[in-house]
Amino acid sequence: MNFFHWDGAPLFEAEILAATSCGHAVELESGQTLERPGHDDYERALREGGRLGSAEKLTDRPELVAAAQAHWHAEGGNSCIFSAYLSEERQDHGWETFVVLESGPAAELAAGIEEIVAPRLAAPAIEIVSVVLPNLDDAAELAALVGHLGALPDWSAVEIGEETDEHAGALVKVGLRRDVELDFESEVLGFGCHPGAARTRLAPFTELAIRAKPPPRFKSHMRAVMADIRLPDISGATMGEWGKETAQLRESMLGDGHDLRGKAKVTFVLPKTAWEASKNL
Amino acid sequence: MSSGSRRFQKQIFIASLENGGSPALVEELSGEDIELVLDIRRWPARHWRRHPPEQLAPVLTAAEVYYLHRPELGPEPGHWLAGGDRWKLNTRAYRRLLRSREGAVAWAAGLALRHRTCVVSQFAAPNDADRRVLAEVIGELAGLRSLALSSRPKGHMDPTRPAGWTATASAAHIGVRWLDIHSHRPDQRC
Repeated sequence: MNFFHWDGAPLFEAEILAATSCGHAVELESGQTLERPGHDDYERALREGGRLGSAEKLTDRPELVAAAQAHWHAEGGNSCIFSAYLSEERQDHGWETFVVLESGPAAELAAGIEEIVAPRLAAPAIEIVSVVLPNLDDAAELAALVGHLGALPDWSAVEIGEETDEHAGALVKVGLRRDVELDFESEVLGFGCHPGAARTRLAPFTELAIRAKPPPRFKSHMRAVMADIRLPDISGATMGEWGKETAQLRESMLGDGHDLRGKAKVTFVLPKTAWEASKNL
Repeated sequence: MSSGSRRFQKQIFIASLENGGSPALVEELSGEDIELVLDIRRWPARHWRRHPPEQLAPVLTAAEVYYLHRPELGPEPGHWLAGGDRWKLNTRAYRRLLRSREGAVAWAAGLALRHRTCVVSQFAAPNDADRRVLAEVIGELAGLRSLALSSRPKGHMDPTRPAGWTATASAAHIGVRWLDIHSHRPDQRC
C-alpha cells in the first residue's frame, strides 16, 4: 500500500498553520458557534503561505495533510487538552502518523491499514498510531472500511447504540477495537467530517487513532485508552487543571445531544443505512 | 533529558519468591512501584514452595501488577549444576540459550522499557543467578540498570529446596548483595 509515514517531527509549517483562518463553524447546542479550521481553510493557508502550489490539492501532499491534521488536534479541535499537548510534541510522545492516499476497495484498504499498523503497535516507543485517509469522505465507504477492519483477525467492530439526528437521520455508533500487547484491547478513536459525527471529532480529514499500548499498570477492564499515556513532564496539579478544562470544553462542545457520540468507546457514528449495507459486503 | 526519554524505565529489578507469602510479596513489589512481574520459573510445580503461577497471577493482577509466566526465558534444568553449598548456574550455557531466543528477550526488553519490571524466580540468594543473568541480558539490550528488590529473607530451611542449599549460604550473601534502593522513589525516576 502506498503511504506516507510522518514520525511527528516538529512542524515546519507551524507558522503558516497558526495563521489559518477558521471558516468552518461548528454550531453548538447553546446556540453559539465554534470556529474550527476545516480542510479548505488549511488548503488556503498553505497555498497563501507558499507551501502548496496554485494547482495542487492538499490531498495530494501527504506531509501537509499530516501537518494540518496534527495542527487541528494541537489547537484543541477534539476538546482534549492532553491530546493537544501530545500533538504539539508528537515525536517526544510516540505519536506516529501514516497518511494513506489510496481510496480503493474497502477490503484492500483495511488489509493495507493492518499491514501498516501491526508492526508499529509492537514497537516499544510508540504510544499512538494514526492512519489519516484524506481521500475517504464518503459515509458508505467509511462504513465499508469499518466493517472490513472489524472482520480482520486482530480487530473487532461493536455496535454501541443507535441515535436519530434531525439532520443526519438514523445513526449507529460503532466502536472499532484492535488487540494490543498483554491481551488488551485498544479503543480506536475516529475523526473526520462525517454526517452525524460528534462535534469533537470533526477533523479536516478522516483518521483512525489507535492507542498502541496497554496501561502502565494492569487493569481488569482490559481496555487500552489514550488517557493512560504517561506524561512524565506534567505535574499532578497541571494534570488536574487540564482534566477540568478538558471536561468543560468537552461539555460545551458536545452538550447533551452529542455526549454519547463523543465517548471514547465510539469510533465513528455512521448512517444506519450505510452501516447495514456494509454487513453485506 | 527530553520528555521522550523520560517515558521509559531506567531499571529492571529482580526478586525471590521465597521471602514470605502473597501479602509480603505484594508489599515488596508495591514498595518499589513494580508494574510487571516476569516469572521465569521452569521447575516442576511440586517444587514451588510458594506462589505457583495459578495462585500468583490473581494476587498480582488484583494489585494491578501484570503477571507474565515465561519459563522459556529461564534456564533449562541441565544449566543448573549441583555441588558444594549452593546450586551453580552454567551462565555461559544459559546466556547462549537466551541468545538463541533473541525474539523473546527483545520482547521482554520492550516491556521492561515501558513497565517497571521485576524478574522473579523461586529461590533466595545465592541461588538467584537465573534472574540475575536474565535481568542483565535484558538490561544490556534495553539500557536498563539491574537491581535487586529490597527483601527480608527468612533464611529457614525449606525441604523442597534443591540439594546443596543451606541457610548459612543464603545469609552470608544477603548483607553484601542486596542493594539499598529505598532512596530511589518512583517520583524521582529519571
